[in-house]
Amino acid sequence: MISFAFTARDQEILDEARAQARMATRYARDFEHDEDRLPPREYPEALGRPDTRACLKRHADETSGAKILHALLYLEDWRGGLPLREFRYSLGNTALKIAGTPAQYERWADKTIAIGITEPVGGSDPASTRTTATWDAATNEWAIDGEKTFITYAESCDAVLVLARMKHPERSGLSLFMVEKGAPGFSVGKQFRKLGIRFEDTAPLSFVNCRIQAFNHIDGDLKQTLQSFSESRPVVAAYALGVTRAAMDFTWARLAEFGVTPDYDGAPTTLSAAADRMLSLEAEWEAAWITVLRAKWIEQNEGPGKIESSVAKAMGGALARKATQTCIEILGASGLSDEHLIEKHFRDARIFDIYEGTGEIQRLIIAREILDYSPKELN
Amino acid sequence: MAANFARQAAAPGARQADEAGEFPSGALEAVWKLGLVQTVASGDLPEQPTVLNALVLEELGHGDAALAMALAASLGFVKAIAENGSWAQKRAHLPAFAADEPRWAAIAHTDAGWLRGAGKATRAEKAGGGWRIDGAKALIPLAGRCERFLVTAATSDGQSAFVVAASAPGLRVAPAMGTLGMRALQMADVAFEGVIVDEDARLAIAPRRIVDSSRVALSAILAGVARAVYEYSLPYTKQRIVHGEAIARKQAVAFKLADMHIAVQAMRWMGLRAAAELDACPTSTRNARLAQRYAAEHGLKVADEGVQVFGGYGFVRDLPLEMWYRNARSLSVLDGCVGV
Repeated sequence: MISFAFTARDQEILDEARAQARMATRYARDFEHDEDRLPPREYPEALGRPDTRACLKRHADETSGAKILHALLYLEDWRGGLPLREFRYSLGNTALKIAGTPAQYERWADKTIAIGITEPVGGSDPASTRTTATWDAATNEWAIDGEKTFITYAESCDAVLVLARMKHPERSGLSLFMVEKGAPGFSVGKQFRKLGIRFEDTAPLSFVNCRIQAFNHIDGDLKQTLQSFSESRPVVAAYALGVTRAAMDFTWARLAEFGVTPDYDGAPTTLSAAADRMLSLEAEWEAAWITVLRAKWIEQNEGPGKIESSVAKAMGGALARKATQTCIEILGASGLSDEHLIEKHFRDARIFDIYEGTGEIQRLIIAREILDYSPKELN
Repeated sequence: MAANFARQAAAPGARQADEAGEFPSGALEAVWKLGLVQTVASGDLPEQPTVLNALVLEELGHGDAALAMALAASLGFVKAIAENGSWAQKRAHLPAFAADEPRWAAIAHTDAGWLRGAGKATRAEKAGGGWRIDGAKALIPLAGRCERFLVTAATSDGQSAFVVAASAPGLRVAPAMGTLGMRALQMADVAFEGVIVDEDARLAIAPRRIVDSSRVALSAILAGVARAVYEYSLPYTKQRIVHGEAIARKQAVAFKLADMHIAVQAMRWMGLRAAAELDACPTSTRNARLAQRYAAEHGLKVADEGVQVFGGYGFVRDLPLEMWYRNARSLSVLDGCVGV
């Protein structure tokens, strides 16, 4: 028996998320010209509305699975433009959970932890990491030196989990280090001026002889930790589904004013170009949706799949680009105006094929697996 | 069982069938023996018959799309009657299809139009106690062998479907035309000139479900073809050395394979989602159409890239790539002649 149907509880939670997304839309533009500002923890409209994530936590056993629903809640957040009630998905927290000891997890569990991997000279290739962690036996401290960049939540986070190369008499290689805000020698640069997703704070980080205690060395299995990032890839694809859904719904609404509506039976000889292209986008959207659901279903039931997350991410990234580009093409010049959100969707959507591993990196991961090649054999 | 059959029997015969323009002796009998149609005709259905049938059609499509289409045509006919026929209709039409002997039938939905320049929709009008059907339907698989057709026609109150015997006066099967792909199917137009049928011939089913079912069947077969191309390309790219290195080790080729993998996965799961919906609901209009649309676009793309990956070998008829390319182009423009 295979089923693609949602439970009543799924539907209730998703309906509420969609209702909140509609309320959030009025704030979607607030950061376009004021991008250094950080979004509030929640907007006034959130008061009195149920917290969808809390509902999910409470009733997880009545849903199709918390991991599946989580991805779909992000879809709804991004459909609205930004979340009405902030819920940060930060890889640093995921990594701490996997690689940290219980005592370490306990200490930072309620913090927002950004992940610091990407450096100015390399994002997709952790082996190129230049940031160092030098062991000081005299003080029992690590000294972090180096630069990180494109760090999401750089400003709003409480701590950063930094990937650094160990300089230690008995250790070498890469490892993770927890650097809290306020640590001496740790500074956050100015936020980047970005094409889109301006409500997210993205900035470079600098570490100059930044001293942290031995306790802050998160010394779990690094490979396993980095692999666990595959959990976030379908979530980014869900972001892409949300933004493109908003763009496509807007385009359909405009087309309806001209009498063009979804037509599932139109013959290729007579279907209008606009309806035909939208039909193709709808197919791409559903294709991406099913790969996200499948990746999350596998994760929920069997643990993260080897390449399903990359399949979903590659599809979401490609969809985001193609769908928002095509919608503006169909709308023509009226799609350019910042009276509407469509131009913002176009700008926001472009990140999804870049962050959390570019489309090319996803294809490398998939290709290595299906061809049975090592990273050395195919790079 | 279907996968084994597809590999051991269907795939090796596919090229011969395509070149000859007819199935080799025994091929149709062998695919019939899988029992897909008989199971539906006997009413002994599993929990999710449409999902199961879609999985089988994917396997058959992997072996030989033409053979898959032949079976899916009879399957579409039988399933529509088994699901929505009256007791009398089931008794009249199903027992013949529950036996070991292969029997052929098809859905006749897409109007034959522009090829003949007519472009008129097939119509059914009340005539006496029954109906009079006029029109023509396009490219019916194994039309010359079909004993019965399930014909969709416009009526004064919408669309209806009628069971018409091949022997009905006024029904004329045109000579099979040569086609781009799946040549062994001997697809042919069927004309209806004042064909009279009883009221009993009208099926209590909205043609909507028939069309949705045909789209799920076509997307399943396309998924099978695409998977065949993908699986055939993988080992070749690891063996083929260019400039001292396997072409699979070059991103330009490796990424094509990754994209094939992505497309095959999405095609399969979109199709199964629509199939599951058809098992649970009367129709699956959006999901079936979008599954077919995605399979049509990406099935063709996968087959196209398969030819490209093999270069000159993709173009010659010694290898199956060019056949899969023609078959993918063909499958992706068909609509409403089969079912699942």
